[in-house]
Amino acid sequence: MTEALAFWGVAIVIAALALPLAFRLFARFPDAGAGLSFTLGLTLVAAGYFVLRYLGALPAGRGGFLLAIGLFGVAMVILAVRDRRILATLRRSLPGLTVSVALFSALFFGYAFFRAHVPDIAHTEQPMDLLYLNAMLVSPDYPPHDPWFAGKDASYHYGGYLQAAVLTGASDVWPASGYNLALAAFFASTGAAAFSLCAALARWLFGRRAHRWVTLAATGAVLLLLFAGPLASVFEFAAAHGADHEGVYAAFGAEGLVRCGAGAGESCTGQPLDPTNRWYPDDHWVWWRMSRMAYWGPQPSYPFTVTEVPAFSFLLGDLHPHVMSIPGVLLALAVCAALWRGRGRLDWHEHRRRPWLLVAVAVVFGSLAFVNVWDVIAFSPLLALAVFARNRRTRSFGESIGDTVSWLLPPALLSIALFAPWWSDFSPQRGGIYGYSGQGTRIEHVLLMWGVPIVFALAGLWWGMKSWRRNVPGAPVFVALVLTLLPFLLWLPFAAFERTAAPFDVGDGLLVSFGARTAGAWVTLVFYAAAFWLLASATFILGRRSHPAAPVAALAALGVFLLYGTEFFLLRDALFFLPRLNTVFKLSYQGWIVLSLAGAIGGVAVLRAAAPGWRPIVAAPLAILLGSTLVFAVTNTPNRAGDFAVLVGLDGLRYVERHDPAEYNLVRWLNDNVERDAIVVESSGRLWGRGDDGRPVLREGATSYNSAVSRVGYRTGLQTPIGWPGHETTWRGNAPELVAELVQRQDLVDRVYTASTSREVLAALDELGATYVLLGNLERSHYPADLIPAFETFLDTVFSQGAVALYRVPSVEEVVTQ
Amino acid sequence: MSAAAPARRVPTVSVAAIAWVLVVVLFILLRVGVVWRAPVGGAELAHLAGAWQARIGMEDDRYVPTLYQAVTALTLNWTESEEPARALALAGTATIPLALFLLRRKLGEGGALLALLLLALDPASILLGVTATAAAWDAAIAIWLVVALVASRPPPWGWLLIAFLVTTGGPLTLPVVLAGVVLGAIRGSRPGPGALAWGAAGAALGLLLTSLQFGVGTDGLRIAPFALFAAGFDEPWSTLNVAQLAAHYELPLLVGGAAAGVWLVVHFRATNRAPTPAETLSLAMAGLAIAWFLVALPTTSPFPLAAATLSSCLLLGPALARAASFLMTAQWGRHVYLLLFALGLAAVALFVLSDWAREGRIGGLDERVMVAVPVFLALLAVSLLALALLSTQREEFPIAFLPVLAAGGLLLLAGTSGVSLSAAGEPLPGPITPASARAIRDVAFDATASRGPLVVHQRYREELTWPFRGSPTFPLAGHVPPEAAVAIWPAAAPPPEGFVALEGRWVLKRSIRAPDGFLDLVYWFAERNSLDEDLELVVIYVRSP
Repeated sequence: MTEALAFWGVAIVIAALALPLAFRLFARFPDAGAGLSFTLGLTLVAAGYFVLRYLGALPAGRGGFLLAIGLFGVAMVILAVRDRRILATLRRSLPGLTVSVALFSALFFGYAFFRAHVPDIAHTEQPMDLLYLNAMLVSPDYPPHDPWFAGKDASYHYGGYLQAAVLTGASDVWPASGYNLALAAFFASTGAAAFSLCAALARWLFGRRAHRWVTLAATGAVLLLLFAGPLASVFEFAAAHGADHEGVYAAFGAEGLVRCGAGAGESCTGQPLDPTNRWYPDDHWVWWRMSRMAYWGPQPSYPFTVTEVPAFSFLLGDLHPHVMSIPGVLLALAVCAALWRGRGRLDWHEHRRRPWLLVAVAVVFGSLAFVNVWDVIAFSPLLALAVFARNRRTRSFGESIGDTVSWLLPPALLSIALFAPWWSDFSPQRGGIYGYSGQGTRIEHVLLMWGVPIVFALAGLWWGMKSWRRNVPGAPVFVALVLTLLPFLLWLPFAAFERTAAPFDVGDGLLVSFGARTAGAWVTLVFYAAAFWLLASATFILGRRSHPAAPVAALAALGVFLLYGTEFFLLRDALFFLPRLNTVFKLSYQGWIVLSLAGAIGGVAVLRAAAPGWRPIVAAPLAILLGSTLVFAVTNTPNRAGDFAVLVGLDGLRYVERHDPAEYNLVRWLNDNVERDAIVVESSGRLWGRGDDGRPVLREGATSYNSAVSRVGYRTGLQTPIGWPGHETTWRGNAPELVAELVQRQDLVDRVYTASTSREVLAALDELGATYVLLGNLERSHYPADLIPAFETFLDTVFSQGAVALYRVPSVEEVVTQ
Repeated sequence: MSAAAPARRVPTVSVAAIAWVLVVVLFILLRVGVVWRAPVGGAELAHLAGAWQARIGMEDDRYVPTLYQAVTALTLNWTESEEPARALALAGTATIPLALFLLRRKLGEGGALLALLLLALDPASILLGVTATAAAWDAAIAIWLVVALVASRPPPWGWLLIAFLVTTGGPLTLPVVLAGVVLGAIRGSRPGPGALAWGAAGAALGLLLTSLQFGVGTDGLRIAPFALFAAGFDEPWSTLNVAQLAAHYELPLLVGGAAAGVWLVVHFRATNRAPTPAETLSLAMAGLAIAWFLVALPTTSPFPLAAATLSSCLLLGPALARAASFLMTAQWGRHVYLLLFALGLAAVALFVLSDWAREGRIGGLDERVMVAVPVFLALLAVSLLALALLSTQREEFPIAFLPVLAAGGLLLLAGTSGVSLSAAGEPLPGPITPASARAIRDVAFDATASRGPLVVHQRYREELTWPFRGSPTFPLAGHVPPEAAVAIWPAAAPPPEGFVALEGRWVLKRSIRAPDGFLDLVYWFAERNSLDEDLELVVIYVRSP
């Protein structure tokens, strides 16, 4: 509880310090940006910390984090005292400020309570997430080191981990608890930011006096964004209670969710599961099926796409970049909305008048890439569009282009300069754009997955169209049509010139690519195209009139476009063997974010537009749809939290303490006693046996996704020679030199544990630059006992408890005192 | 008839002047003894070790360096003693009275005087202002910075010196600098281009010198105040943590400062008066220092405590002066009897309490009654007095605080006398390196002369730099190498094979524990040498013949 309070306190302080900037940036928001201040403050502090650490101006440790917050506070105080309207803004925004703090606190403590029932950092890529959080905290120099690849800087979009580290470090919370509390902080700041942004958009749309409608829309956005999930959960829920008619399920594309009983034969289209014993589906990790729509149809051998939504992410509890970036995305969208809504021309002169805006925009949009590089690709164009639309109100088309470019250039350059040290280390596998030539996504699955927010957004559009359908200008509709057809037209040469990819080898060529796509997938394309055409047309038409519905339509159009695009294209990355896994995953996730905002406002707009007598009739289907999407969170939260039976606590390594107390104490000891630049050797993750000739024989290679291995690196942030090798190639590209170095490091580590003489051990350690060797249960299980050298005879034992011992390379250090 | 002789002008000395002289003398006297009597310990031990390493040209993280630490390294060129460095620290600290004298127009004559008195009595200020920590000149720089910001208008070139001193100083100046920035922003005053240029040059020079470690080496950009501020969160610079130090030494100043700050803010709101620049600066400084103090509560650095008490003194001094002026004009009447009655009752309770504390146990029922009843009656008397004053003579309300002030003064004086007169028996400068640490070195190296090379356990890398200064080169290791003939090894570790221990009780490091419980605390206020010690015992082994 103390840790949660300290963490929450730091988040609140940073948000409070950011208020003067939020008040200026979001002056036209009903809460003057109070709900966005949590993210704004954290983004700026983390970016400032990164730059100052890189320059060497800030020292490592808690003091460095506190100094960064303090310096940010001073800058904000200066901004505050120069703002003559700050007290008036504060008074005006007081209700919004109160709601924001209350909402943030409720979501933070609520989520922390949930995580306190499932705190373990033990599965999926959670060890990797803790690894980066720890690296941000303990790296003696910046850019931070990669604890799983000693001697190298991290090569990943780690900005979100740095934000988590700011909160963890400043509040002096144990990192494994900081991990869970950081999730709570991102969850809560997402809610507060969504509420603030949606309230602003709704207020502009509905007017000053429509408090109830504004609150309803903002609440809807929080629900859709944080708690809503695919409609497939309704089918899962019904099946768990025995209401799963195979025919009905097949009609909705959910035949894979039918429960055929534990002894089901191969003819069953669904799961070999019995109905639940509780009011919610109680099967182990039942909610996992909601994140891969391939599971909903006939059971696949492997799901080739990931279709995650924020509610799933927070349920799972991976502290991944795409999760940590949600509040930042909302902040960037809010900046775009605020710029669009503002008055006056935006060109480079503006930066002389308002330098704080230049810095804020550079950091907010630079951080989009720093936190999750996919976001800068998807959302930066919105900034250009917003600035252009604002300039277009008073300038000609050509002048608007010129002004927009001159306004965008300085923040873009500043952003690149600020994050240059990170960009220079960031080198993931990338192989350009490919056309998609697979089966495509079934229309039933599209509707089950994204149907509700799309329908809500389109419903809002219908309401908006009422005012201008009699006088629709032709040009915007035509431009929107061109944009709608563009992905298809661009895809054709990809297919024709055989730059395509699909999960199975379907062959290449235009006709083959056409033929591979199923009928349902073609319907999906038509649905997306029609929706996008309508929404894009609305955006252009409303935008020309500076209508307050324009940003809502733009968000909806962007959301549909992101989904539409994934049906044609994919980005080649490290997971190219599952070609469009990451593309669908990342872009559909972004699509969900913007669609949930636009959907919430659209739904409320329809309701508001209905005559009072008709409102219950309009509200009923909307409420049913919304309620259906919430089934995901309502039924799966108790499943994930083990029926809330045991309050474990927030320490994500508590399971280690439970199963192997000595290992847990070792982690504490390493944290307290070992130099931050030391290199610790632990098992390479490969399994060794003894051959017939008595020599060590490799039985099994190292794998990723195993929380039991590479544990020193992720649990402490200290450097180890080698961690999860597959991830290193994902992060750094799989160049032959890198692969060779990985194997060489594995060999050297294995030599430490299998060498026949102490001289060989010491030589291997010297080559690795390592000072410490760990011998725990993992090493004893990976290397034959009689091969493991007697380290205690030639190394200094610095920690020993049960089966766990840590050895230090003996050193004789000459001390000169005169 | 002779003309009347002109009346001779008798030279007069004002009471204020006498008070200033007395307080300045007290300020100096309470510090002079510390120069040669206080043991080397806590942050001073680390920073002297760093300075020594710099003096012999070795890179060391403990060499931050601040300007003062660089000067300390210089003094170690001609002496191995810490005393010249401490004398230089005292010389810098001794300028504080002058700075406060210059502030008297801003804080009020009485306010400045009382602030100086409180600073004179402040245990943390005494210790950190005289011992050779890297931040020894910080309090003086901080106060002079306050003078520069509110009481004088330094010439543009003066900002060269100010910026240089700040960038080469320690963390105690940070709250003043940040508060100064806030003050400037509120007043809408910006330094002129000249001052800005000189200030930038001073800061650049300071950063250059600290980054070059004043000629010892370079390891990238180094900002001394930031480095010391951050190190305070990680380094074991005190036996007690900040919360314990505050509770045992500084409670009166901290509570008083906080109360004075709150009163000031309430007063502004009640009277609709705008704060003066000095008041704004003091409040901002106090806010920042208290924030630092609060987040540092679990750490073991004395600097946040010193920053908090420094700003508390600047707030509390004027507040006490104002309260004193009320008391001067108060109609004491029957109040004085009630107060004496309350104090008498408190004294009775205290006698019994001290008896319990000496025996380490709570007495029987009759004794408990003897404590509970007087305490209750004393509290009742003071409360009644406060209520009566509030309802009838509101302006004389401060009278009710006299018992609190008296109690606070007693607590403060206990800490002051402890640190100033018998620092070796206090927890504050701990852990300390006792005289025996130097003796270990002498005995061990005497043994090497007849037997062979020395090895020291690597665990003592940090502790032995200072007591072993000026020794021949020797190795540190986690095991005894075959060629070693003499070993300094932890007493708790198994003896190295083939070695025998030299007789003696060798203490390398000593720290005094915090009082354990309330009675222990009461006893400690009465008997300062009552606390338990933790000793880092080592054994000097020699290879058996």
